[in-house]
Amino acid sequence: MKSTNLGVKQVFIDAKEKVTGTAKYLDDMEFPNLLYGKILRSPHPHARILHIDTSKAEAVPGVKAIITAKDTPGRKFGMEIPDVDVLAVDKVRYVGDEVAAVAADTEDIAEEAISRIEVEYELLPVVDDPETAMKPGAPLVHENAKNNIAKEYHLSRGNVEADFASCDYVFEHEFSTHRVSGLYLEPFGAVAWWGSDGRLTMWTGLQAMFQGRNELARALGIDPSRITLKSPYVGGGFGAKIWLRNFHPIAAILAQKAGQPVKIVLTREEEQLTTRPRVAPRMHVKLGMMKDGTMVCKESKIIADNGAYSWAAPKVLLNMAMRTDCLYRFKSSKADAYLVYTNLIPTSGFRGYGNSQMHFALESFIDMCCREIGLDPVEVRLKNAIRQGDVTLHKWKIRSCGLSECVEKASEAIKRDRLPAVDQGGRIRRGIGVACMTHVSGNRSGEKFDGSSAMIRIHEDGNVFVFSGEADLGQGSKTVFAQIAAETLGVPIDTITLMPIDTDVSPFCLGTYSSRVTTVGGKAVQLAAQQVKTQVLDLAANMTGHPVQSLTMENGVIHSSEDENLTLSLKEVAQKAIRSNAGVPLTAYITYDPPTEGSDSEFYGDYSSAYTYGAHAVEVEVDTVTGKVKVLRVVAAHDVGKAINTLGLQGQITGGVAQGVGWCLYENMQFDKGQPLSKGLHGYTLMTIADMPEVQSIIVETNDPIGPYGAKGVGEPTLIPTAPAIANAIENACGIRITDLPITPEKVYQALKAVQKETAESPRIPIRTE
Amino acid sequence: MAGLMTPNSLDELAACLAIGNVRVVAGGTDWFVRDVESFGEEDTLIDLSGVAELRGVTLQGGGLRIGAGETMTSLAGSPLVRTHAACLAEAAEHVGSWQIRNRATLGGNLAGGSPAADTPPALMALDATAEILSLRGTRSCSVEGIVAQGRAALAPDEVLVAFTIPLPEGRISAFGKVGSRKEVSIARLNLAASLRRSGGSLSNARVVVGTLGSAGRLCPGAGEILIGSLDLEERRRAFCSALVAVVEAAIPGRSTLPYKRSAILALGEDVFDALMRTSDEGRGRS
Repeated sequence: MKSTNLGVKQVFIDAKEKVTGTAKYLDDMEFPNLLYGKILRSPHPHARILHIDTSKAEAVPGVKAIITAKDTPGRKFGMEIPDVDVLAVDKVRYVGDEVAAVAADTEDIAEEAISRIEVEYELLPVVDDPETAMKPGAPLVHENAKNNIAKEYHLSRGNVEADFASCDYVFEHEFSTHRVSGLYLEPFGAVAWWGSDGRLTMWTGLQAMFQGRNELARALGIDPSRITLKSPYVGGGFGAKIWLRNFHPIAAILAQKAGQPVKIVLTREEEQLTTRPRVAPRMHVKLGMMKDGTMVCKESKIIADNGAYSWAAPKVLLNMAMRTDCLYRFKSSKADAYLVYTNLIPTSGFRGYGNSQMHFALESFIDMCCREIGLDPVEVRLKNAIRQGDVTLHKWKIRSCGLSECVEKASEAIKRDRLPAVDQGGRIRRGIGVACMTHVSGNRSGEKFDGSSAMIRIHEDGNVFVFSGEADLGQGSKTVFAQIAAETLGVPIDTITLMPIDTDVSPFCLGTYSSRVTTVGGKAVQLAAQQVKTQVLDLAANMTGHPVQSLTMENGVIHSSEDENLTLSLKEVAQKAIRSNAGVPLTAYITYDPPTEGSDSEFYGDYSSAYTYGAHAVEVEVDTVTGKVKVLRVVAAHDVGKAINTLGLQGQITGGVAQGVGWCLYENMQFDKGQPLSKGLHGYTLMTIADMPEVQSIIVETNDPIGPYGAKGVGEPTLIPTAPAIANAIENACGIRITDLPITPEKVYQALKAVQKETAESPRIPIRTE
Repeated sequence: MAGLMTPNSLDELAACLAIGNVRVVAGGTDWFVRDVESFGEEDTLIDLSGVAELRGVTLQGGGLRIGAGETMTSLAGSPLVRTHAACLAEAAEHVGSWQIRNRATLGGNLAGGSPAADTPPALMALDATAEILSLRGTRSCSVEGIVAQGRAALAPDEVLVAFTIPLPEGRISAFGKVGSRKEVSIARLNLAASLRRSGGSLSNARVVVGTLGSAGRLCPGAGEILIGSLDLEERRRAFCSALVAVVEAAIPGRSTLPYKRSAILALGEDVFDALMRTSDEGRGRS
């Protein structure tokens, strides 16, 4: 029977509230006696704090609390490397670093007070380049991090030295990518309120609510159970809202000191100054190939610019060092990766989480190598593609894989209806390019939990509440959960309500990252629904006298194969369960953990519930006189296991492509000696709808054995292959290769000039042929 | 802020100007982003958006009169502007985004004094004259003159009322821009040109390059070539070369020079082709 809930265009269950403006985001919420918090930020990229004088700020009428580092518990926090102070203790490490904070009756008063805080700084030398920062004698961003190295990984699989020696070709090249901002619509913020019982309640739209609660507890030096985090509607996150920011504990400390609730919502300028942009690496890649196109081995040296604090960047670096090894059937690989502190804005996880950066390098490089040895890059990809049943170099077990199908379909589709390759007398050149991707749907380290929990409760009126701690930032997971619950239970989707996250009530969940929510979160909802459905049908069997095996529920009505006239509604069963001496809870709380091993101390191991694959094919147009690149079309083929909501899927793909094109061609956070060159959005070139290409999406369903109804995640995959596909198409169009993002008109222009100059010379890429 | 005045007519506006320490704002799209911070406690803000006489596009005595309060959206959509001042309509179409174009005014785009503004080169190419009101009366000044003086051209209490564009028989014009993206782009380079076509001959060329340190730079050499006697292909090449020479002379040694040199070539080609196309169409019609 064809499902009415899955694989359909399901309008988001919260679409009406959002479209009509009734959905309450943080800044829409009202609180009695609310104070407004503002933060004094460092104007210097690196300076010692000699003295802070808050006396003039304290004298401003309406100021209720002023805090500096001495008012905080003085505990460092952060993720893998706790290197963050709530407020700067002895020095500031980037422009935007938090120095002091004020809570006042109004925003204007708080700003006025902030402007009256006097800070005496002693300027320190600035490190703004990771390679310089690693040199002995470079100024240290954190005194305990030798050579400014925050983290390093050295991974080796097989024997790369021997394999390189036996390859027909060995190619080497360097690639780099830059900082870009997630630029969610809703600026980040929090409201903190201390109850008379000494517990802290904070309203904030974090992607990982339970992890945020624990981090906040660590920063404040209190037990996590003394904190409740509640999520309002969230207006986008893209990774930058996964983890805490300094303003979270700052709001809590201000509220405690003032004895009133405090709200801090960042301005767009503060967001651009202090958001968590993409880690910016230089990636030196070496690739060993045979004459027939077999990719044998890969070696990379990565030096990644971390910025001032580490946050999720160590994990981002690890992904960069590992994940592309599982895109093709490499025999061996080696990676030496360094994460280096600089006096620039801290980087962290952003949609793609390091994987996007290395995909830009590898997927660009494959085309460059194929061009050099005269092979078709699409055929080479197909020849080497990972397939279902493979166990990769890092011991990932590939239970479902539609990579080859994605490559074939995308590369075929882009060839159809092409515009002429040359136009306007040669000024306009058009070309096509393809790039692949792999990503995860979950991410287990060692024996750590990598699953999800869900609770379902049916009320006496037959309506269903679904509780999950996985966050919906607008990507549509609430709707996917409702669809899965409706399908599993056999009830109409409009009887289902997804409850807002409240860490006191919601089931424990890790949160929205690693493209894991549909896969493990959805699986937990499916299992909880099955369990509560069993309670319903068991009771219905008692009520009707029909054996439970004969009973089914469809559209909220119970039928029996033994009696076609039986029509028992879920409401009737629910009333019996709850209001009679039957005493059935009609509630299920389950915890699901996928059957994966987790990676060991050498990062070996099958660590994700599912692995996702895809390919983008693009057609671009290059104006060879202005150097402007226009993306004409993007064909995005994604192996999603099973499409749950085709409308939401289309939204994820279109959004991912938009961010991918923006990353590749337009956006760039630039700095001069540590000072950001753009303030807010002025001077930051965000792609607008006018430059958005047409997107054709191709859904490949491989029916993953673990995911709910076969589904896998798609959130991050959608932007990973876009940039290298564009770079490949540009070379196809006009023969130039840009290996450092972003691909600006100036770079294209300079490269075209350089190619014109050396047409007689060859080869273009420095190549060592053995 | 000492006060906010919202005059509805030029008479009311004059009374507001008499208050002293005034700052005027029309669409506010630049002002609120850039100048709101420097607004003093003693200053009175005058909102020009209600002044009826600042609106309107009319044919008057052989010229086209455009109220300084006309928005970019209304200019881009105005049949009179599209017919008689095509490059101005095209420039207006290239300003900011939809939302910006709905608020931003022609007068504001010039008064803002940005060297990257889109409409001043078009006004200059069309030889427009501005009508300026203050307590000292009304004065006229060519847009060319205003652009040459930059932000100092207008005193704080002076208000741009309207622009008059002379309409010689057979004038055609075109505009082009190279920016980093299609919308909300600050012009990296823009180019406006106009000329007269009567009978078979071309005359009165005015070619203006924007964003080279000032909002508009008149290029008489390129103008001469545009209406010169070379055949079409050669004329196109020579026109572009002349523009390249203008860029080289304007920003010698600047790191952006190599790119701008190429970008002006592209703009030159586009604007030249648009003018010649219009010129042919004109010939077909008449």
